[in-house]
Amino acid sequence: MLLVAEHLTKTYAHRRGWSTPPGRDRGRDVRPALADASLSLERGESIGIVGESGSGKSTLARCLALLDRPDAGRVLLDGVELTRLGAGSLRRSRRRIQVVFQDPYSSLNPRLTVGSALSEVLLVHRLVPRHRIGRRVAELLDQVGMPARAADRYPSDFSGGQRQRICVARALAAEPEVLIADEPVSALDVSIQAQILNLLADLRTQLALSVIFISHDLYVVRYIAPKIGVMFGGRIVEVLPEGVPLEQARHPYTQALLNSRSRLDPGWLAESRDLATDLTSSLPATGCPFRERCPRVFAPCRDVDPPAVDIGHGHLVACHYVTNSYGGSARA
Amino acid sequence: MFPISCAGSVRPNATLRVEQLTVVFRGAGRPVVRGVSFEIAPGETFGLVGESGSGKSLTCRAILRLLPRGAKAGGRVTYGGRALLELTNAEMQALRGSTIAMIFQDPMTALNPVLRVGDAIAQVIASHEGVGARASRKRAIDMMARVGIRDAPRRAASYPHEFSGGMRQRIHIAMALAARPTLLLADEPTTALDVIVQAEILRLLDDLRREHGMSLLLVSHDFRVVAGLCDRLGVMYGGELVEMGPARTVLHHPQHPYTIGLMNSLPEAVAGRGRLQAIPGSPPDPEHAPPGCVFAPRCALAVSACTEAPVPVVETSPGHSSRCLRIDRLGELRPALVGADRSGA
Repeated sequence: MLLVAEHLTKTYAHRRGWSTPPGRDRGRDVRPALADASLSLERGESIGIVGESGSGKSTLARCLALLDRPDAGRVLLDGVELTRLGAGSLRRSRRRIQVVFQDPYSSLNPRLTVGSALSEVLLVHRLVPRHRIGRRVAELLDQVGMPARAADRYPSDFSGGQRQRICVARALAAEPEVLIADEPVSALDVSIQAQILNLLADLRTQLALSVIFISHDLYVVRYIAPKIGVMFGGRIVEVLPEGVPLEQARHPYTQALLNSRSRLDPGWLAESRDLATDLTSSLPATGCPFRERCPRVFAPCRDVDPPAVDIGHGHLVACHYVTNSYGGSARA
Repeated sequence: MFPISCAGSVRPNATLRVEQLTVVFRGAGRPVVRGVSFEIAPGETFGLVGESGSGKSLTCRAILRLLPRGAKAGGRVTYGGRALLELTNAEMQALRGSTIAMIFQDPMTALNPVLRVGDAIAQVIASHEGVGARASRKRAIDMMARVGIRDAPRRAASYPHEFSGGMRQRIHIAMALAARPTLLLADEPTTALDVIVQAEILRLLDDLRREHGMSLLLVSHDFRVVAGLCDRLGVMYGGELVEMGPARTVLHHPQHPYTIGLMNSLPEAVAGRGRLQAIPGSPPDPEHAPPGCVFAPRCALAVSACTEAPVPVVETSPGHSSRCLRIDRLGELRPALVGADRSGA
């Protein structure tokens, strides 16, 4: 396994401020942003992570890249436990996991030319001899479909889509084995999104990269990664392996996502069911995080957070209703 | 249905007519919205689709005369026979909220953070309809309950920040509809929301439109959002309306290369493993758009005639029009999705 994450948990401390209402200043949120998340990737294997805002998908990305240290759990890269490394050795390992963020406007230094932003990475990680840096920068730009002359210009000279290409080039400069892309097209114009998705899909195959692709759109995710993890309330509630169609999703939340998804079909809104969700702004502190919105809720959901159970061929579902109806396999 | 009490208001069965609308920024050369014309019949839902910079939001704001500083609208906008661009500021202010209301992408910009939401909604009712405090407060609570806020009498005393994004948008809708407008302009009302909440808000808007017999202008960058509830839709690109027609016809038989390109670039358009059909290049800066067809630089079908002179609007079937010289060659582009939902759900 190239990348293994085991039981990652992260709780962000609530900072006490002047507006903190009394009773809410216990210092910690009730529910962790990320709870007991596990996943593993073979070399070259990709996974898509889907979930709504607040589901923990960005926290998962930050913990995998060690941008945030998880409170509990381990991240292993090629058998090396990153979560136990000190600052120096972690810095050397960081090169191997690179991140592309959602907003290409805030993730490039406006005062660095594109060329210096890329060569900085090459210098810091000592990836090519100094005299070859110019040539390598041109190669990287070419790889993401940008002309070599872009190196002399500043981020402000480029559109959102072009900037996102530059961010991808900067990530590739480090020669990573894992590329984490956190909503990389959400901030882009609709007509540009497909260009960036195609670029990521091509690079994934050409460079045999493991891509962790995060998005709120199931179909966008599946275009990049055949294997999908669905997150809700800080948990990975379902893993759909390659070959299992989205329509065979079993977790009630994944089904709700599919049901509510807008489509290029004049009838989609009429066909989707009203799920009467969003009635509460906070998630329940105990039991299944989805239980207050779930049409399938029954007694055990209130007290026990359902464990992820393999219902066949690596299709994992964390739901009492589903695992109950599978009888025997629930104990597997 | 309900009394229209505001002086100088418009009958509920009014039609919105936008004719040759232009929006130009002071000091800028070319208008950023050019020659936009459409109509919204009473009770109809019209969708305006376009990416950022296409002029869709400016078109929407020009109707309510809420353009940013330095922008000026030209052309003609009438609602129920009243020419909106010619009204005095006071007359326009009387129409805003009571007859034509607007909701925005970010409800926080529309909700006063230091006002309890119940009071904010009641204020709208009191100021437009001159009813007393007690009556307007009661109607505010009814309205909150109608938009799906549980325990409305208690929640009326909460502040905007105490609600989730979806709930805030519901309150924003309650506020916009409190004075019973006959036309609602919704500018990206669900863009900041999660998938499931988005469907709920759209369903709510559709239900309320039907109940109130209201017309709805829905502006979005997402074709799929407008597909779900619009009777007719218009596609904007680079400041111009490039295609307009009944929603079903536009979705099943698009008549403009940009519309086809947008549909084909969606992941659900590649049924199996094929590559996404991306539109090459990037959207134009509308101020510096080329003469002739704005989409020509990115269009696979463009010929020299496309960029030489402004392209006229052609009616391709009754009520369906396109601003394209190459309509007869559209078959050369890979056929669009033809509305069939292969993705299923």
